[in-house]
Amino acid sequence: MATTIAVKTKQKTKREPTAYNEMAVRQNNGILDYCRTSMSSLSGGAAGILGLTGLYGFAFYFLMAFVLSFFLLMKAGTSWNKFFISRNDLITKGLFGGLFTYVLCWTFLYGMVHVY
Amino acid sequence: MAELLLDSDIRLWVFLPIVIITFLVGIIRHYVTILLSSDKKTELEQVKDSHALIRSRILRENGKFIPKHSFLTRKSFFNHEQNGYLTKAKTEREAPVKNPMTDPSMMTDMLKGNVTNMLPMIVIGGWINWAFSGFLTTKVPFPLTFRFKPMLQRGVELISLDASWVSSASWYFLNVFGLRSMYTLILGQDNAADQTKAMQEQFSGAGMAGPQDPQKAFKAEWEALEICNHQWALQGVEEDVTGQIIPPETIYIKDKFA
Amino acid sequence: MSWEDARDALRKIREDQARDGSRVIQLWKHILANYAHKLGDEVWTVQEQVTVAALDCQNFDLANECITSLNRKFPNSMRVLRLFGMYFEAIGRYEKATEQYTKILEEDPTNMFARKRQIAILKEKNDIPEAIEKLNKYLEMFMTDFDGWMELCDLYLQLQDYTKAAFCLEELIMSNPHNHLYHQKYAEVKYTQGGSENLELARSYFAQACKLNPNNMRAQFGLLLTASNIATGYSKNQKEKNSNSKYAVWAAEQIIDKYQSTQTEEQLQDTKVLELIKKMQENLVPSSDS
Repeated sequence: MATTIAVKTKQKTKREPTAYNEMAVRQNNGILDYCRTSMSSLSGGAAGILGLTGLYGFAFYFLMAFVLSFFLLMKAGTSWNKFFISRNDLITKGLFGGLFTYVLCWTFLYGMVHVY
Repeated sequence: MAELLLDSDIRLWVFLPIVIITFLVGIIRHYVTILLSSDKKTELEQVKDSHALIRSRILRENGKFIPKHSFLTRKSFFNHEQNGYLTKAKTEREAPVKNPMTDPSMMTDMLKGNVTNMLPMIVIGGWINWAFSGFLTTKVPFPLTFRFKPMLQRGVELISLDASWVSSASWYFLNVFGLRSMYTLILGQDNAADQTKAMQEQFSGAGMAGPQDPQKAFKAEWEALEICNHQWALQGVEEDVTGQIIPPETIYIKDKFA
Repeated sequence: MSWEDARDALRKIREDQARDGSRVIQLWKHILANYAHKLGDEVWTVQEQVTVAALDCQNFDLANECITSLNRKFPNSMRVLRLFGMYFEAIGRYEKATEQYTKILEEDPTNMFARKRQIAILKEKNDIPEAIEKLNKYLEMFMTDFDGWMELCDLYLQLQDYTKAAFCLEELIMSNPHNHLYHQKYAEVKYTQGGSENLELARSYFAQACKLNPNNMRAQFGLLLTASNIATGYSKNQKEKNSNSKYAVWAAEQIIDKYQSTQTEEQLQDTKVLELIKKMQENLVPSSDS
């Protein structure tokens, strides 16, 4: 159950308990994943065609990843807690999982364009 | 490190085909698995067990919301020394360690799993190794240490070659693992194209056994419930809701167990 | 309304599991029936939904039509069998319906739906004890079907078997401890049972319901009644009496407050309840002062 209940303390500083729908949260995370993967493969392709090598390529990935995070944060705006349990999810989720896709696309297009 | 120049025919006839083949095989796998997957017949006993386990878990988590007497009644239903549901289940229940040889349905399931998981991996991998052996296909666009050589240059044993060159066999494996997230992109969340997940399951043995040993689950649940104490969450709720000072003893309880 | 809108509306009804038969039928008959070919594979799900809606509205022709088309597409399917069962049930041929459900259960003994329908038939026949027995057997197997517990609770309440109904409600409270209605209902059952211990439990659960939803008037009335009852009848010592009357006074204040903030002047004059509550409040206050 994805239900988080704020614990009540004796000072009566009561945080409103928020309940999340597990299915909805999973759906949202799926969409986040989708964004990440698309971004990784597209930026991988871009890096490959541009012919970035070595550290520049990785720097490019992280740059793109943070640009995406920024857009996601903009999109979520102030109501992010309506859709996600933690805000960090928006920034870090799938950051390293996406790296793998990125490297593959990067290698693929780099190979296609620059090696031969 | 001298630059190598690769024939551009390699690109057309080796590099691209490997990518396309791995990709299409993944897609075909997805649909074949859908085609072959038989609805798993769940047995009544299994359903009952899983429901009991869930109910016991709920009792542990939310038992504090019901009066103590009711909690104890339920606890004894599950954990009574002789007749408790979990007590009995954890000792008497024959662990259904089905011998795959005697149970034909199990056998076909396993076979299907193997046919869709391992076979393409071996066959396609072998075929690619055979058809495209010995090619250097591409170069990763970042420098790598020599440690990576056996990983990336399978089938090409050249000591002086820079580690960032990738051989055809290794390119295939890179694709197998790297296309995973692409499948999620194209086929949706729960796709069957992803062999690696299935492989992990097979290696850990969980994929075959279905629900893991129920006896173990019962034992764990029994233990967890045994040490679970009842602390009524509604203690002092009247004071709380009427906005008065909570008596000190309830504060103590709340802080300790909240 | 375009057919896309209608499709989306039906989808929403399906997802929410709302039971709005007449609307479903309207949407189907007037809009979607002409666009069935555009729905693709979704048409079968929609037809299933329409069938159930039609049975709800006693529209047997439409139900028949849908079932026939579904049966043609999916012969021997469990879900079509289930629709047949429901159809027979709706036209009152219970034996035939039971037959369908038994057929499903022979194929798949874990089919919760068929089991529940069988119990529903018993309830329809007004054979409550038998329904209770069956439902108990069912819950023994599917312990976490909370709708089942809810139904069992209502059946027990019909027979006025409050202890057992309370048991079912405890199960429901555990399933979702943040639903104030469960707490309120549990408190009501306990209140009905009577006795000082049960009254105190009832008071706690009414209070919990008030806490979870401050707008739950019924729980507030319950809190008022239980607390004042305990204060006047069951208190063991003065301290307890005082605190109980405090709760009662609080609940009374809340109720009066609600009435005054929502009703107009004219209505307020007609509201006899308020006077009653005020009188009760007056009776209680002196005892808390002393």
